[in-house]
Amino acid sequence: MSPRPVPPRFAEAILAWFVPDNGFGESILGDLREEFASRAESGSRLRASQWYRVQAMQLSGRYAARALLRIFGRTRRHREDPFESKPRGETVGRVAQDVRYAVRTLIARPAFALTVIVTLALGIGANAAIFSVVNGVLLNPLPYPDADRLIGVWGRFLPESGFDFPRFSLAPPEYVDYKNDTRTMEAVAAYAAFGATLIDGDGDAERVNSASVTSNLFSLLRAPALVGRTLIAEDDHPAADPVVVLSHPLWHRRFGGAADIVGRRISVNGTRSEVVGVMPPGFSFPGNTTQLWSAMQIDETRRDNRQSHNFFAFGRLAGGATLEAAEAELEPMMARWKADFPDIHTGHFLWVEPMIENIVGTIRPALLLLLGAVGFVLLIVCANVANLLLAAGEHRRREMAVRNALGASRRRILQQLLTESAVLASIGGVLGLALAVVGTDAMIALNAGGIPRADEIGLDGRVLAFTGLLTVATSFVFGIIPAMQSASPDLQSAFKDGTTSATAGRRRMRFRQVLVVSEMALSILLVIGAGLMIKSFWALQQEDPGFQTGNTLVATLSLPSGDYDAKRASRFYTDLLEDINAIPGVERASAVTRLPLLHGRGVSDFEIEGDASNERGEFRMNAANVSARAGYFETMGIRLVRGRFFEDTDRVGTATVAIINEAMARRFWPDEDPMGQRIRFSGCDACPWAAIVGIVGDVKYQNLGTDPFPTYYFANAQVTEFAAFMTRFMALTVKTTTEPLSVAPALRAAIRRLDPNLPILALQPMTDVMAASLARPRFTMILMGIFGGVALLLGAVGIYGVMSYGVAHRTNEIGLRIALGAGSAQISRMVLGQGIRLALLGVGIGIMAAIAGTRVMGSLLFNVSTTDPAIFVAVSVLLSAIAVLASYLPARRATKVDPMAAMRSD
Amino acid sequence: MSDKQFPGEFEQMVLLAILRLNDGAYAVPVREEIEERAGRAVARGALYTTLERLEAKGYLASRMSDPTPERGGRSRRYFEVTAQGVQSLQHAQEAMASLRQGLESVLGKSS
Repeated sequence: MSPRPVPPRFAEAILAWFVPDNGFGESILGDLREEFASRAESGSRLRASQWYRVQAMQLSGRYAARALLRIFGRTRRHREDPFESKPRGETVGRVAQDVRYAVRTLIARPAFALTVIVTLALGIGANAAIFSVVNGVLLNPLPYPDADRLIGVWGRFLPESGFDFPRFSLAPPEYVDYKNDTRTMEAVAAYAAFGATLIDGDGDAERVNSASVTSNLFSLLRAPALVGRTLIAEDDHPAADPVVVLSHPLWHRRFGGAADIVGRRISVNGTRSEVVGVMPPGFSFPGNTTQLWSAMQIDETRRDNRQSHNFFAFGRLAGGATLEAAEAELEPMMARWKADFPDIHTGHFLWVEPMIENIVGTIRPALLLLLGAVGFVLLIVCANVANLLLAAGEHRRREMAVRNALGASRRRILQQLLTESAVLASIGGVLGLALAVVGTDAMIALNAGGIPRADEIGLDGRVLAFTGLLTVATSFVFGIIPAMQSASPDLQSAFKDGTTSATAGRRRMRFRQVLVVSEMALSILLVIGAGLMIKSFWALQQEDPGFQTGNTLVATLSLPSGDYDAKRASRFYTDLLEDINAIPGVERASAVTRLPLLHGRGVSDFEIEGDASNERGEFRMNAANVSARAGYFETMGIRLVRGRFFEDTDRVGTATVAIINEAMARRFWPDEDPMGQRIRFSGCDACPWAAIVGIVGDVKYQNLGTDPFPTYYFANAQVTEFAAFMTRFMALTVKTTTEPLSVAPALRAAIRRLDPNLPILALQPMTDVMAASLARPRFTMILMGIFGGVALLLGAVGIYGVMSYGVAHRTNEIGLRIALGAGSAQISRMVLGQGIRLALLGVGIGIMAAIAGTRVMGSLLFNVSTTDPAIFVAVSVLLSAIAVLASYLPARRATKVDPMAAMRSD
Repeated sequence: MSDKQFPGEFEQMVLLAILRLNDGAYAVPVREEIEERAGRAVARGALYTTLERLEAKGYLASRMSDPTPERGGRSRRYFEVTAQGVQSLQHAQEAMASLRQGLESVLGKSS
């Protein structure tokens, strides 16, 4: 006779937990078993098992839901359900009683309660903090009405165009054509940021972030003026009088909130402009520091400037239109452009995306990574707290047994224990929220301006709801299993004055081991993540930027075009550099149009004398352009490869010269000698040819993680003749013999003497510029490092706790072994071995999880593979070592067991 | 009070099925009986909760059988309809019948 078929044991065990523990539950289990048996005998055994699992799940779910309803009192249901026909007051009273009892219990064990609460507060707080950043930056809509319908319009250059810019600005005819042809947009506005020098009003001359915008921008953003008006269509006309709109802060700060501000004329970059309105507080666009708006006067009749991409655009979706429709509409439009302007629109087209993407897109991967990591930290916290509760439960087994014997049902005890978890979690949650407030501020400070929308980060309803939900979920995750184990006391052994029965003890031990292995695995994952970030950051720092930062002071000046023409600007810098060079402590001063890591790179086309490829249009020749004064390369410590640097003799009247970097030499003269070749801006027949007189090392202008771009330098004293745009905006580079900032006051004074109205921007040591460029990777690295460290600590505590418990639990056995002649080496080997086995299992699982999991970090790592073997090995060894250490103490304790005492205690 | 509250549709089905099954009414055949007669699928969970509820209302009484090995050493719970249960069923059926009166042309003959 074949053995009687047995339903899936695990499913049956689960179901047994959830069905009512009266005769009813028993009959349910029996019914299912009976039906299972008849199904198994008449059909496929496998089918029957599957059927059983489904039934068990459904019934468990039903009874679990009922239990929850009962505990968290939906009293209306209670009355319907006569099985629970207790009046409402009693339920409330019972919960209150449980809470009171829980608080009393926790007060009686302050060390335990404090440990649990602090651990939980850290876990919940870290999660709430990261979530509030994610919420403020990624989830909240931009601060304009119906902001989700605002769509950014961008240009894109694919490599086939000769450029590779996935996100680029627009040229006036591109904007005009799109604006006129689109049917999915209610309207399209254009804007460009610029710096405005203001001299009117209170205080020194000041440079404020400003934007020139088309007049419809304000109506698109649904933003009316607070005082006066915003821009109107007439202001867009190229011949219109210049007008400006002020931000609320600017109006108050510089003009004392004067009521008669509208109609006043103020100087903006030397141009008298009429103030027509003030925006309400809180309005800012495109950046959150933009203070002034002037009309962007686009000449819509001009069609010849399709390649001067100089502003950005966005639209608002028309009623009923979707982003998909806007994308679909672009396809035929772009095909038409390509047919009409094949030389311009091959591999170059417009595309659209929600406006918020451009603002937060680059930080999204880092924030999501951190959110995931901090979630794992919380899981580890839960595992640890569950472990603590289990240990505490061991001490309370007698209490539970007494309650059970006095008539408390398993459910009643379970409810009491879950209330305790909930009380712990709630206190932890409240503290966590407080920590989150502090932590969020710390994070924003840590990233020092690198987080977009940082001023929109804060506590709001969503953060509170998230934290509340997290707290409830957490209390269940860490509380349910310990509570279940404690609530089913093994009466007989609990009343016996000894340790638990072997089987029950082993089951509990097994569960704790599972917890520790999971903790180890999660820790490995997090520590590897942290390790990769640290290595990547280290690699970034090892990158040669191509210049030196030591003893260098920099400052940026922007001469207002109304007051300075190219010649006057050039003379200004010549005089200024002369004065600065005379300051004691200054070794050499120079100036450049772009400071590495601060001003990015500006790319423009150029042509090589006698090279036909440019005219043939075979490939576009473009490179970054920089213009520098004599001494720039020396002050920045940029390497000379061949030829010479710029000298004071390179001025108007002498032969026009240029210097190129190695990347440019490699790219455009792979087989020839670039020295002596002549280049000039493309399409500028009036520009003189500049002979290449030197080759210098590559400099990272963009950021440390981006390969150097081909770059050419024009001698700044010569560009007044052909490139006025390279004369007014300059960064000073001052090499000092002393601490760089000690020279700053004298530098300021020198500038004031020449032009008291000139604002000085970004006066700082070059080391600060370097540090700022690393702010974001450092932010991610530090947070990942903290999470990894916490994971490490909690993992170690977890292992230690379980091993200690194991030793305490096996005191009799160990005593017996010692009595039978086992040496202390053998005993400690046994305990250590067990710890190491657990650790290795955790390490193995963690490494597999890490191989799969770290892939999401790819875009955040620089020169480090997501499966970097060194990091994987180092972290595995580190965690194993910590696990050995954490097992070592309990192992030593085990050898100290007094066999007599141990055996007597049983 | 309970004669003012009629058992619900599903409750009536359960009561009727138990009456039909006589002595052999435990959850498994009750479910089969309803599925067969009413031609509708019955979720076990719903059946168990209804049985519990009807017993708590006093419409059903139950007794446990001796445990049997094919049930993993567990007992069956046999149900019978109490006098109160029969009465409430009668009330409900009478109410339905009186509501049907005069609607035969629409609903057809009552069985």
